Amino acid sequence: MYDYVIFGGGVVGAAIFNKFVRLGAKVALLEKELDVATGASKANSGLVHAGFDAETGTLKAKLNVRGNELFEKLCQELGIKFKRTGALVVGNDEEKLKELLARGKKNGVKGLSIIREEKLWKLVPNLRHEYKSALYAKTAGLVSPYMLTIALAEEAVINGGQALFGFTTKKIEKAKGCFKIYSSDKRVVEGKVVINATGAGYNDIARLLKAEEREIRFRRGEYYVLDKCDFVNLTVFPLPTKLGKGILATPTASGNILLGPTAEDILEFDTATTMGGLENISGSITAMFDNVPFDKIIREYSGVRVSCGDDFVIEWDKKAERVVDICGINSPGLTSAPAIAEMVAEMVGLRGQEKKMIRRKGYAVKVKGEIVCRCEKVGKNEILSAINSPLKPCTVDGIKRRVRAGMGKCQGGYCLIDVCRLIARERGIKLEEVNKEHEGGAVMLSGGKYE
Amino acid sequence: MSSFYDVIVIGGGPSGMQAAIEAKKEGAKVLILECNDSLGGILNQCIHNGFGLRQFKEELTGPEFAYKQYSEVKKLKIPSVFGAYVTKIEGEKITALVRGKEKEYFSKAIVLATGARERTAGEIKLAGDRGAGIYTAGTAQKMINYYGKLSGKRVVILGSGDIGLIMARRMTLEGAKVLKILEIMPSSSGLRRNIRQCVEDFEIPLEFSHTVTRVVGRERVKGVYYAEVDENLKPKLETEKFLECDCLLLSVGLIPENTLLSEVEKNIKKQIIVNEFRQTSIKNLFISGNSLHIHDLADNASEEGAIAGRSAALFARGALEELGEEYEISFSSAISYTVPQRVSGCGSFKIFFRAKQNFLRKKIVVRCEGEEIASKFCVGITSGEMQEIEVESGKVKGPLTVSIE
Repeated sequence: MYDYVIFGGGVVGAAIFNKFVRLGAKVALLEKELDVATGASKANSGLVHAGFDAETGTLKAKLNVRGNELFEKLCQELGIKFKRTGALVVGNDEEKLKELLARGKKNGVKGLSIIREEKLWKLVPNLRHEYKSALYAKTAGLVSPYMLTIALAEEAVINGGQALFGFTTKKIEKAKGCFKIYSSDKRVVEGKVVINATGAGYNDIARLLKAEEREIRFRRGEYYVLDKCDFVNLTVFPLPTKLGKGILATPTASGNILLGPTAEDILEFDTATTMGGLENISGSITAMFDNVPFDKIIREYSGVRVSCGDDFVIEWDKKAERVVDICGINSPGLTSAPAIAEMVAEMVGLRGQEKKMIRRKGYAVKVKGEIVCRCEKVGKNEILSAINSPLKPCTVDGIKRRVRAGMGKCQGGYCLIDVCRLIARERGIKLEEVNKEHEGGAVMLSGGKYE
Repeated sequence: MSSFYDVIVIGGGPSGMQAAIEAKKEGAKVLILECNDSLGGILNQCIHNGFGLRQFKEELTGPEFAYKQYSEVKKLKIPSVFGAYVTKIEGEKITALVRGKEKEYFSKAIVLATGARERTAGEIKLAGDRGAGIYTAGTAQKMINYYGKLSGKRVVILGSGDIGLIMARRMTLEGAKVLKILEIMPSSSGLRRNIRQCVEDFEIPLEFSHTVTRVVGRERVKGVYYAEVDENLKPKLETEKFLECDCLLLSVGLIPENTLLSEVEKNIKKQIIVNEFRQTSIKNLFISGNSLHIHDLADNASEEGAIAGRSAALFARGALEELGEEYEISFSSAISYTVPQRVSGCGSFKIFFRAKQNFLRKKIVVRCEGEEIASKFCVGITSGEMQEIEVESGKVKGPLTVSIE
């Protein structure tokens, strides 16, 4: 019997999981996929926003600013990279920039200023000189969104939290102050209080909980990933519009460059990229920058933002007892995640000192072993260390997110098979049983005539 | 074994092995650094025939070709270090991770023969889902030829490069159904013999001026949408059709793997400039095989390795230092590039190049300051096949131009 059961292993679920374990609770995290961070948490811009964008007084504004403050310490404790590189909103409409600055100050954001011409161009050498002014937000930063999620969940597991993967919830029974949760593969988990942090899957779980179902909208954002280069050294946004923060250029915490996202309303959850969307990015970026290294594009991806009204929804469910609803966590969801965890802990009455945590070790090894991923220079021993890490990842993409094998310019051309072989060996499964990311997504099939 | 050599060859594929062999025959002290556990490189996964006609005058499979070279490497007692991944070249010093441990080697001359990699789905901006089942043809080749695993059972191949053509036959022989080969260009960049033996003989539909517009299948490929393209290679969406499949193989080009060199020489653009000795602008650094430019045949990569290896050995003993003036080789608009791009003309040499389109009954002409110094009549020149023309010793007195007339 768990005190708390969290549905959803995205960054929000993982942050709550981690916080609750730190506060000494008995917690389980249920994830239907084979790893954490396989939804929106792996496919966003990886930005820690300063907090000037959200409407003052909203949860988004409050949690963004608080979340941002928590990042340094949290990432240090988790042993992951966090870079406070700053961000710029460029545009010649000074009125709008001043509006953003004023809103930022109201939201409690520190380190905001408007910079012009030479100072701006020096910060962003590739910016077109038609752009003469920008709002500079010193406190914005970069984090790998999936590494943050993984590290939060790993630390929770090391310290006694339970994470269950491939857990597709089929049925939930309520009995005597507890929930009995059944998976399609006949696992049963019992908990006193449940937290629905499933993002796009919110209504599926709400229905089973007989909780409030909500109107959810999906907005797809497509991106280009560039090989490591110094095209921009900090995040550069255009002026925001009703559709969002616009198509930006940013470095990632690992040194790649992201161009995107588009903002396209879609009817169903769908992370496919489109030819039109990708052209859209090229157009917007070319309008803002010179010398765009399009020849360094190594990958495209898209993520889906889930919205439920304008603000985040974080509240006790109105229909079902002992259910916390978390819904519509789109941008600045990544930044807010640590603050959302604090808020939910407060809501459920988990207070007091955090217990002393055993820190995660990461995947570093003394001797790399032979190089498996040539582009990112990842050694065999590092891959083994990731395979045997606390969440016991078993997918190729799970390993890729942990140690970057397959993230370089050849995109796994050299290392895919070797990573599969190492996973198969360590897990004691057949080569054709290794999945890329999802159940049913085997990399290789059996049936060669001379197998 | 000391770490000081005359010639170190990085990469033990067909080009690297031949470079090592020729350098050794010139009397150099040679070492091969190979990142895999054996020599042969990509030849080891090319179990089809068609190798060796040029170099060994007999038809061999990839591993047989590699074995012939390997036997000579062994006979000449050329040492190799396996599991050696070179991370840096600085002057005469090579830093490598050997099974993950950093080691240093020193060599008077260095030959880079690091091969090529395949262009990826990301680079061609393939739209749609990103599930399992989308691979480069070479990766699928390794799956089946090393491990007996299929990349899919109903296969669509995008691009008609040689590896794609070879894999169309290979997958068919292994019991998979190859539904279609789609080529965005109006003709194939593959060798004529591969189109005949791998596609036509197996009645696999090959559609030119067609491309994949979208891949469907979140977990694994479930199908692809494809369409005809217009003259600007843009898909005509009204012609879009769906094809159910579980695998999409890409054979959309090879890219020279020369990151090492671009780390030494920051101002390297798309193509590496060499002289007829395959010497780069860094005098002790030579480059050959697919890491310099993409070859149609292992035989050609090997031939180029021989040039680089011999030159590196000469350089190591100071016999290549006084080359005199070097002249540029320029070319007409029908040609996409030449190797070499500059030349001293000390001895006879060959100019290799690719034509941008197909030609019938044309003459390849090399001129030096307007005067014809070499020419060759060709019945057919195809864009897919590398062309070559030899220039005799003593003819070069100034810049050269190559043209198709």
